[in-house]
Amino acid sequence: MSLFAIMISSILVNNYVFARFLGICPFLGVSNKMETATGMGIAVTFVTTLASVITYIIQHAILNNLGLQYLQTIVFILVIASLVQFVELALKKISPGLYSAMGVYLPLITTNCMVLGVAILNIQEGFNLIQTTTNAVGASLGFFLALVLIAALREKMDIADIPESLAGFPITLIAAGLMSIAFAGFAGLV
Amino acid sequence: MKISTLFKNGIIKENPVLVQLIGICSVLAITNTVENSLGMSAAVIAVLTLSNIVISLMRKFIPAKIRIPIFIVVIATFVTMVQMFMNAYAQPLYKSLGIFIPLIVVNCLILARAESFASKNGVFVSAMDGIAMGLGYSVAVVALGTVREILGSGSFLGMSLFGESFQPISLFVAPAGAFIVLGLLIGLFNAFVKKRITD
Amino acid sequence: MNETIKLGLVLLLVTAVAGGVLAGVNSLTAPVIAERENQEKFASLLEIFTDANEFIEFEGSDLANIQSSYPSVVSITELKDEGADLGYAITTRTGGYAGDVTTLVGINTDGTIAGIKVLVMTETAGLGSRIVDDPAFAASFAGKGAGGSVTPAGAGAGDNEVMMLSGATVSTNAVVKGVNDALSAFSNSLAN
Repeated sequence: MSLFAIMISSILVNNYVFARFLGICPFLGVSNKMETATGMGIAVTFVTTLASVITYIIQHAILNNLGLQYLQTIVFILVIASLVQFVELALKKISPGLYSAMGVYLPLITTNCMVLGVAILNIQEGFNLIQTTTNAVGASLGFFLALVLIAALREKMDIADIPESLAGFPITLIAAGLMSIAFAGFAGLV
Repeated sequence: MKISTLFKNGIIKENPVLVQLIGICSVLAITNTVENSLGMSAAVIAVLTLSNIVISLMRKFIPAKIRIPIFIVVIATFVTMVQMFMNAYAQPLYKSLGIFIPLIVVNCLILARAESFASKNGVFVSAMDGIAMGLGYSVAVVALGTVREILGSGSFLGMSLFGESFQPISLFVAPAGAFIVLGLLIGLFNAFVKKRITD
Repeated sequence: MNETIKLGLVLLLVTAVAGGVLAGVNSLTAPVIAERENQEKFASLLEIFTDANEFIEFEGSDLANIQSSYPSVVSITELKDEGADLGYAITTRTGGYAGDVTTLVGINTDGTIAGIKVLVMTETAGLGSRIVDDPAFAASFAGKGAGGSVTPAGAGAGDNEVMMLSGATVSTNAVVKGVNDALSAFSNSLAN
């Protein structure tokens, strides 16, 4: 697959939120305001890309060579958890500005299944390092796009008259469903 | 703590999917058929109960500072075991659940029970809590799977229900259907069940 | 500092135990998995070539040469019945709607399709999954392909036409691409 195809596929056609159901928790949790959505989007992009590259290297340099593929899940999740901690510490020291922008979202990212999901899928698809990076960036941008789109909708829904039992998460899920139909329209692109 | 309270909490009052809305990714992804829903439920109950038991056993020896990494290692171990057994003995299910089996690791439900329950309670109660919460997950997932399979494929557990002439509404097995049906299900739960508990 | 080392050791110990347990479970399940995958592979081959009793797997440079021109080809097996050539079974992997689709393509010595079978796919249940669930789809490939390729169209009645699954264009095309790659690989590299 060409890099362009991978990019388009992960952003639009197989959008990780609307078609692959990864990263739904933060998608519901932080999508009520445009501003928090943007902060989360940037933090996820950063961590997913970094985690994909590192797990790719670990898988090919260590696990495959030693025949330890069955430790994949446990190793990847530990790498991601440590990476998130490390990024948090590093940002605090190096760039307080950036830290204040995305610091609060970082702890939430360990349990964002998109980070682990993208890392595992990259290996399953047999991507090389460049394809892995492309897919990770595309996946994060797709997540970012989904988050910002739904945040914009939720800001409008706040002032709409919604039945009591549907207010909050239920109506957000239904809106996400309608959005997912729209994204299904990209199916033939790649 | 009474066991019946645990089950009432897990299945109704604090239902992980319908009330707490945690672990939604796998809920949306694997409910396109009832069979997948049942398979995923079994995997979640197994991992949740076993990790609750082990963490409860270890609770006195785990240093507070590194408890989260240790919980993650324990959970990941059980997830990998479930993954291996499924691959060996339940191949079709393993294939259709795909990446969502390893992703049980990051299902916030399991880590949340480890942190808020198993690390503070005895082994037996923790095991019961695992089963109760797992059943709460299963109830929601199987309900969702039933609605989606009947409307989207016109079948239940793979058996055709309406004969050849029925044209299923394939939207319901598509990703969009997952979001919409779950939204409506939570709405219904809010309207009928939750109200009655709080009254 | 002492505490950090202690914490590190505890974590290391827990992880080591976890690794040990998993290694044990792996040694139990790995042979079962390998055995079943092997069986599945020959079972699919025998569904297409019922008389086959010799399976010659392409390896090393023989396979790599073909893969360099047809990257979607995963493996090639030559099939014989008591020494008589039956044809080739070519496995291809192509991109579908939700992940890759792996298709086994059986090709007779005369270049027509003996049969196909989709081995692995994660397409949408009820839509794309019909490439496996609808037996008429796979059946529509048999005997076609003498012209070197097939195209999806309607019910797939015409020469070199195969069934088009409505609502599952991407999945249909994934299988068709796999089949066409296999046909080209056969006519350019394998046929005498």
